[in-house]
Amino acid sequence: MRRTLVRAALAASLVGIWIGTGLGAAPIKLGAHAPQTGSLAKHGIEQMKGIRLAAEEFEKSHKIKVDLFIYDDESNPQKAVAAVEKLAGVDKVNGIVGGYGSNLVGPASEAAERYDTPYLTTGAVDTKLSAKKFKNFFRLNNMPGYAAAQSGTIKDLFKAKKVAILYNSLSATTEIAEVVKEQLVRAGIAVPVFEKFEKGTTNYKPILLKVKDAGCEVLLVEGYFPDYVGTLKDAKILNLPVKAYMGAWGIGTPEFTRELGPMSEYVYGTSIWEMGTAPKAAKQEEAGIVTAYKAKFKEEPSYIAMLGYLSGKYMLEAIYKGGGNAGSYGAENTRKTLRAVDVVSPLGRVAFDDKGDPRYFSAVLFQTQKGTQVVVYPRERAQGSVQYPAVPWGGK
Amino acid sequence: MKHPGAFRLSEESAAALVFAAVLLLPVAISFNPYYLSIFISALILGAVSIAWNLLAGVCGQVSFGHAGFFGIGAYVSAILVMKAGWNPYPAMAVAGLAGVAGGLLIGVPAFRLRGPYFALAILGFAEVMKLLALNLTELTEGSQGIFNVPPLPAFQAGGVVVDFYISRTSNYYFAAALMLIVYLAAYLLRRSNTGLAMFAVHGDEETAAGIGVPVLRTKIAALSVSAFSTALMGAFYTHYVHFLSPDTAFDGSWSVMPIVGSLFGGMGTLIGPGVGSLVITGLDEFVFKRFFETGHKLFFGLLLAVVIVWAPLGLLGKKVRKIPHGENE
Repeated sequence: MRRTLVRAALAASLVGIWIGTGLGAAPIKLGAHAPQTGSLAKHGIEQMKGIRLAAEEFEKSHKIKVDLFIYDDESNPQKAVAAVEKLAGVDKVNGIVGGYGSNLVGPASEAAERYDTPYLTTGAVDTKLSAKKFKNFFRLNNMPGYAAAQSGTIKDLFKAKKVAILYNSLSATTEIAEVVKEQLVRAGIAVPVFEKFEKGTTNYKPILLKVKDAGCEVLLVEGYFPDYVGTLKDAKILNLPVKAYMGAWGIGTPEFTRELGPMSEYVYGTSIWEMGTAPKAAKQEEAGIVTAYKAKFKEEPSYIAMLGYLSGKYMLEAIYKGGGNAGSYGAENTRKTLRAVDVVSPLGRVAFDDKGDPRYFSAVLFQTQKGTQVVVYPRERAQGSVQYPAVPWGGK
Repeated sequence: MKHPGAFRLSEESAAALVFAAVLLLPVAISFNPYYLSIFISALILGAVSIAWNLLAGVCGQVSFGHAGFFGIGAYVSAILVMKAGWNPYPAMAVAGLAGVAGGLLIGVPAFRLRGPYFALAILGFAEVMKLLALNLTELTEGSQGIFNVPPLPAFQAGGVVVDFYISRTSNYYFAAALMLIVYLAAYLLRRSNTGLAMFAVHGDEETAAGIGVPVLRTKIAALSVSAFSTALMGAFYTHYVHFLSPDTAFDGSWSVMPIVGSLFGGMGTLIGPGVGSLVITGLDEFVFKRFFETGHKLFFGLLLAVVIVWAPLGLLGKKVRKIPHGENE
């Protein structure tokens, strides 16, 4: 009798542990694809680190096993489609995250739609991606969010009246230039100079003279590293009389500051997230993510890793909350839960519209001050105040 | 002289066996959509390899720029469908003809040159086509690429709706049919008088010219069929992947992988390159990737080195008899 009681107690405690650890709930199958080889591998590897951490943290906090399926899409659209087909068709995952580059995410998200599997990406900003209104498509960042940081600063901080926009003819830079122009014009700010230049341009003086003639207060260059170097050099030669110089991506990075030295001072650039830029309500979460990331990977998280982490987290929570305790993780429930998300994250407020685009995403805008990138916009994420007017070559 | 016990298939029997295997493969993999998508890629590559081999293996004109024809086909079909509202099926045929036009553009002047100049010229041609796609933004959307390219329209066959948007099986069999068409075109050309002339040109151009073979016309014929077939597969690719950009359509792998597939399968046969492409794609996806998720491409190099050293005739080189010459005379 005593032996029977001991056995019963042992069995009961085992069941208790089993329920307590959540092993009773059905594991969540999370799929992820991103370039791990090829031209975009550097970004895809960062993204995947964030996703892995999110899966681990979710397991710890929710006591539910996460089966993470990861495939390398080799920076190739055909392979990205095959990866999604494998995730959705063979592994039968409950949701897919990842994807880097609009040309990979476009066909991959279409495949996810065919398989009716929720797809949350952080690496593709092209507006065409959400134009088809796929019911399974969600993303944390989009082009208007980047543009909003630039136009918001010009409107709210500089209070400028005339802006010149020069842009590289490549796709992303063309699109951001057009969106910023539209936002500025809507805010009553004139854009008398809107000039395209080709990749590889070395002499910017002719178009910079147009900027001078038009009396623009702000010079906005939507380009890449060599374009910033070229325009800054020529602006210095012409002593261009503008009050601020602003760029899109790849400006203000440590390499940029190292290469340009004093010529990088006072320039403005966009970023999605930098350490310490989380809104007040998400400071604690930011610190937690950074600590866990550093402990796991022995390095600071980049903004791409942060985006990867948050995409994994929101997808897992949506699958879990949508499916409830029964473990019936249906796609429709996951979609509904994702659409209902409205939280403040280290990136700012996160919520999705009916096309899956972020409702409130805004990049941060920083200014290089004494060699350091100081976030100046939006105000709720600012680390310091703007130094305006100021350009590295003197200006006026 | 035959070695006793040596078993060699005719080209026709080997091709029949290969296409029978292609026909039955979906059953063996239980119509699994992911595996089918892998083999669709393999069939596209297989058809391009057969087309490349017709020009290089049969006619002796090595090309390092078939990506140019592939990209032309992909863009022409996508533009005709999306900008001019064409049905994708005729658009694919016109895309093939655009490939021929591209072939004539480069072939007519370059074939007059001796030595490796055709190979170099066609390499440059592919790069020029890519630059055009990047810069003709009104038509091609430039580096941004063309999104949402429509799939091939569904049709009814024997009361069954053949759909290309959802079904991987339909796409698989369509790709297999295209590979069969490309193979038959290569086979019929090889069996014709032009095929004999191609063989002569491959052997020795000057001797061929000396015995009255129209060398330039023969090379142009081989290039035209090869370019048409490659552009046709490019057009299918765009309607299958539903996306197109200069980097993907003119990707160097469309020039390199047909060479690898042909060397692996056997350049001395017509079906060998198709088999080579199917095998290397399968090996890469199902074997190499399992062991080396990120470094699996290294195995191609190793495999190719092994094949070149130990089996220079390729996988089917010793197992398939060459098409006899002069059967049609």
